Amino acid sequence: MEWATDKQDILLRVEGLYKVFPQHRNLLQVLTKQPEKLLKAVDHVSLEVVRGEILGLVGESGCGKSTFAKSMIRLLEPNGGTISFDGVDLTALSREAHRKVCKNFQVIFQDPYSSLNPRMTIGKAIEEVLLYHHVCDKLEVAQRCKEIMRQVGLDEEMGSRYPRQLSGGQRQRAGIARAVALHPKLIIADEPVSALDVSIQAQILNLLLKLKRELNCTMIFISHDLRVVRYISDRVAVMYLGKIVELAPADELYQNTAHPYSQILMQANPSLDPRLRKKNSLVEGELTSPIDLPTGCRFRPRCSKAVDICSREEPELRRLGPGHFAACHYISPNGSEIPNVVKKGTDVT
Amino acid sequence: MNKKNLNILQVENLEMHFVQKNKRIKAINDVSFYVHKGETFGFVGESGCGKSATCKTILRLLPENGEVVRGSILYNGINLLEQSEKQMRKIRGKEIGMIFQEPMTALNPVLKIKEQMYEQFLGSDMTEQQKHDKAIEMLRLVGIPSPETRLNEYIHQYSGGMRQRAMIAVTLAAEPKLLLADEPTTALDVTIQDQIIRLIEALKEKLGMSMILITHDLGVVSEMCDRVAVMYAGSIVEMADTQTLFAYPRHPYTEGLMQSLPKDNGERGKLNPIQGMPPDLSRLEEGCSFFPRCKYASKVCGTTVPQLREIAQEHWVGCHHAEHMEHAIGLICLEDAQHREGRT
Repeated sequence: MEWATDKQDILLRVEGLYKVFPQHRNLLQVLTKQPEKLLKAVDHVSLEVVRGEILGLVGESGCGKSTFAKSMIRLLEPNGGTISFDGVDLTALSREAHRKVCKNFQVIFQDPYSSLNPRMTIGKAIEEVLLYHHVCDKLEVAQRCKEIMRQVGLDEEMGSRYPRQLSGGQRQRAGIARAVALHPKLIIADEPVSALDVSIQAQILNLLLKLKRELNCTMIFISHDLRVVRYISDRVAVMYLGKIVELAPADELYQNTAHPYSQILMQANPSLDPRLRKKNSLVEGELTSPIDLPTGCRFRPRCSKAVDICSREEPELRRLGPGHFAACHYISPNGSEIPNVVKKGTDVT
Repeated sequence: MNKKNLNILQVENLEMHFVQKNKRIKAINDVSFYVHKGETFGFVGESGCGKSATCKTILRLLPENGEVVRGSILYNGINLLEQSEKQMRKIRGKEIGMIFQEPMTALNPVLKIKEQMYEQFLGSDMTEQQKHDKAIEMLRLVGIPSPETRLNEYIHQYSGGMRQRAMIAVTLAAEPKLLLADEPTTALDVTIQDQIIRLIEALKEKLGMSMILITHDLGVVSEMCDRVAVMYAGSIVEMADTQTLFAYPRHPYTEGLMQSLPKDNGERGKLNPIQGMPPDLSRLEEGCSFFPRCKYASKVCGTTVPQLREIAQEHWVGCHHAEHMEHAIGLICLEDAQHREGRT
């Protein structure tokens, strides 16, 4: 199936990606030979990332968005599926060969405090990346490091400080510096602004957009903040319990939300207008356990629109419009256009 | 300040410092506010601005190095700062309850929910059966399924959203008149956050509580608060009812906060974050604490601390230039002409 809007330059193509975490069994369960339970964190997901775009990935905690992104670049070893990055089949590469290509994709983590070595100064941490991948001559490393720090808006003197001596925003800048040092083709930003205060968050968002322009790279932006995702992304994928349930260009997703789960997410997001205050919550139930998935559609237990077929058949992603896909029986029983019942006004938030 | 008898809480000129070996951290600087009976009053600001410290001072839950320098906290006319520890124990929980951001650290991991709930009834003459019934009722009220079995479980056996519900149930079992909610939904997903917000609203109405809500999220403020105070570096810089504040921000910091947020309508213009970082509270310089980051700053801002002034009815701003901040862009647009007239 063609996922992107048009025939475009695909940087990363993931097909049927599958990642499970076996659950711990206690001694009794082992002795009675009970089967091992599996947590399906990513359940046969296919996705294409277009070169130069920012793809947003949203969903509640535990829906597998981080696992999905990490499996895409084999930071976590997937259990199945194929990954093709810029024409190279990543899944077929040996560990050694993978290490050589992995400078093409870098990750920015949510909490730079735990992803930076506390006993290494910021400068050393950035130089380490450069040296490890032999991107420049040893003599040039210090100079290059300074350039990168300037690029992410860190003062030169910060290079001699330790992570604990920096503020949250500065630490995140250091984490970003490490990621962009290698001029990666793909940056995976895993909740890069979630731990930051609003004013700092805006600084980092501006920085990410600036770097993306300067380095001409592609980005997968993971967040649970719908407003931030809409702001930064070109396309957005909504994940629920290890599956992508809706995929669309950002504004299309927010204006013509199709999947009942996406609708719930949008409605639950607090509005910035006190006059639009809601009286009742439309959200029912909590995230279902990803270990014992319901039959049929995995959103069925929380869905107010569920009908008979939802418990029997698992819906596949279907095309609703240009670049707009959703996995729901209710929306397009015959695979045609979005019926009016789920079409919402322009103001969805 | 007006309507004295309608205020459940009135804080005047509160100043609190954290004393460390070689420095004083001025966590709260001359904070005055009031909470009407039955309303939700919000504190919004970035981390370290003193919003949690203010709430902890109200309940006198400060660590040992927290020193109240001056001020008064009148709860229904009683100055909480003058109460003995024994009297405070009667007020905490019964009169003023508090819910925290992290239920895992706020509830006791080695006591069953039941035991923690029963602690709330200490000193009352309820029978065992009445306590049991009340505990079940509370769990049911906050929407925990099969409360009979859940009552005998520990907090780690609950899921994230359920934990927050359990903590709300335990706090509200004592039926406090005033609830302090410190970032009650920050650690939760939006869908669960939405449920908890509605739950708190419903319970507030049912029990006739007043509430102080601490948050850094203007979205939560807009959903829950009647009036709101914006805090910066230990001071209240702006205070108004929620609509007025969202439509007519008059402090540069409030405007900056609002401009830092991506818009609801999907506009993709460049964000205008506040430059720089919050000041070190142990080394506050002369003048306005926002002076180094303020784009409207003038000479007077560097020398004189601006006082909180009432520029329109119930709209308080601590800025020398508040009257000339008409150009500040808020998050909403009120066409209501009467509203604007009422302000001048």
